[in-house]
Amino acid sequence: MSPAAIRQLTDEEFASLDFEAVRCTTCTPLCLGHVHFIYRDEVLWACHPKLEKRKRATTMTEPISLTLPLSREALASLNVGDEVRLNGPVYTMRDAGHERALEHLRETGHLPFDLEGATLFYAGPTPSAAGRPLGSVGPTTASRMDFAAPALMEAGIVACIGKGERSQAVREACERTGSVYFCTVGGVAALLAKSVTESTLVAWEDLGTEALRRLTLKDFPAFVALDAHPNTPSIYER
Amino acid sequence: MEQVDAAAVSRAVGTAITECAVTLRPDYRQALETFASRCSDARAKSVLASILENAAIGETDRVPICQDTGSVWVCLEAGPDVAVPGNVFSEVNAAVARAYEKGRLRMSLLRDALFDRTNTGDNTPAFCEVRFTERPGARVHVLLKGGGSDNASRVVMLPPGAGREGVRCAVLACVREKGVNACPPLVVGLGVGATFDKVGGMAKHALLREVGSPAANEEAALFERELLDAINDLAIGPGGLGGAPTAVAVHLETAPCHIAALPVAINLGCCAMRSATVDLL
Repeated sequence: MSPAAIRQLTDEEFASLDFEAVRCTTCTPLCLGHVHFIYRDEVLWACHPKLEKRKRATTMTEPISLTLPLSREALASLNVGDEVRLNGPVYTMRDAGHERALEHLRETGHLPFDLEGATLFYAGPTPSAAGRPLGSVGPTTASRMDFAAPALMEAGIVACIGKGERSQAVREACERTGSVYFCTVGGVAALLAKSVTESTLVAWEDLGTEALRRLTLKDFPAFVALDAHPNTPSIYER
Repeated sequence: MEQVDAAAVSRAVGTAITECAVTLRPDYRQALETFASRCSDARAKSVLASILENAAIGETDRVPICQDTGSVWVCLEAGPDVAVPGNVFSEVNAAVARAYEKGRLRMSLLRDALFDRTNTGDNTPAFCEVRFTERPGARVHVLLKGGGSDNASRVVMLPPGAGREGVRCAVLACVREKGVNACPPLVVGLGVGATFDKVGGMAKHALLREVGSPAANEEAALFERELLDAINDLAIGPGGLGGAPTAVAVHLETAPCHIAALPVAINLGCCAMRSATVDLL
């Protein structure tokens, strides 16, 4: 959608609009945001100081229960905003692990530890506690893994779990490879640990909390943040 | 002249770490409860409920409320006529190592940012400072700071002509671009003034102020309210999933500065707010 005009909306126009704001990523820091909207059959691109106030309230739908590893059919059926419950194995991998996986991929042409078809969880847990395999575990900022994610998706990773926005390259990789990015809430790691029933060390013990671990999830709550369909805005843009 | 006892400082830090790791700061929790009770957005309401449930699990099961149990930031504050022994922070580091091991907390510290990114294995070193103040007595502030929210923070050296509007834009740009990564609802620590190195510390100290307590002066309090409204208009929301609140408070600290300067630091505090202050004398 290319802008047909750029101007400041009047307060009256702004108040009368029913739109979902699109966060501006291209303008100067002084601009409070842009929105695309249709006004008298014309696509306009305009500014308003209160633009980023999202006008549509979110709704909650019944969570979709998913079994891991995820099938291509299941991945293709997911849409941004869907609330899901994940059941089955995921592998923890963070910054240092991504460097190693990428290096292995470059050297051998395939993923280490037969991770083809796997879902990665961007997380560094605390040790076992309170009778649970992990004391607490939650998502880390996903954008730090953007440098490696497209290559890992091309090589067979089908989904990842983290928090926050991703790069354009990751969006394109999701679409190209049919992969999905799930987000979950940061800062609720004691609660999320209750949805982890098993934890096994797979490799890279020297990395401590960043080691590769296989976790078994049960009813782990997440949202679809990026789906495999073309040009859909992420959950954070809605 | 009274002297701060190094053993007492390290004991206080050790106990504070053990408690903070499993406890959502009470003033922050209270603020969230208030927001949750009047929240109308479905998803925001459910995220707020999760954060409060998480705090309850941390409390009863004594498990960390966030898997990122942080780097340890320590500020020892000493009043007039209080002497500080020279080796106090080496004992503090020993207390940090013991508390992280015993509390089964996460070891998140590396030996060197650039040349040796191997884990120190005991979450040391703590990042420590001494502050000499006019207030009598001595106390130690302990803050467990997660990597995500510190990563989302920034220092900007504005031209003085940018003024109040420039500060407002810098704060909004930071929260808009990085707020979602910092695990909202946020506490926004804002430092304005002093020098490049000091302004970051002011923003960090601002996070210690009780959520809901008023700023030092009326002008600052007014600006804080204005900023908080503008931040919440961004509707990033709890967990970044939309709705309100994006932030529960903005805490501003200002200071003198050079005629050529307008330093601004924004230190974002996350929804696993963990800090404590222990009186020593």
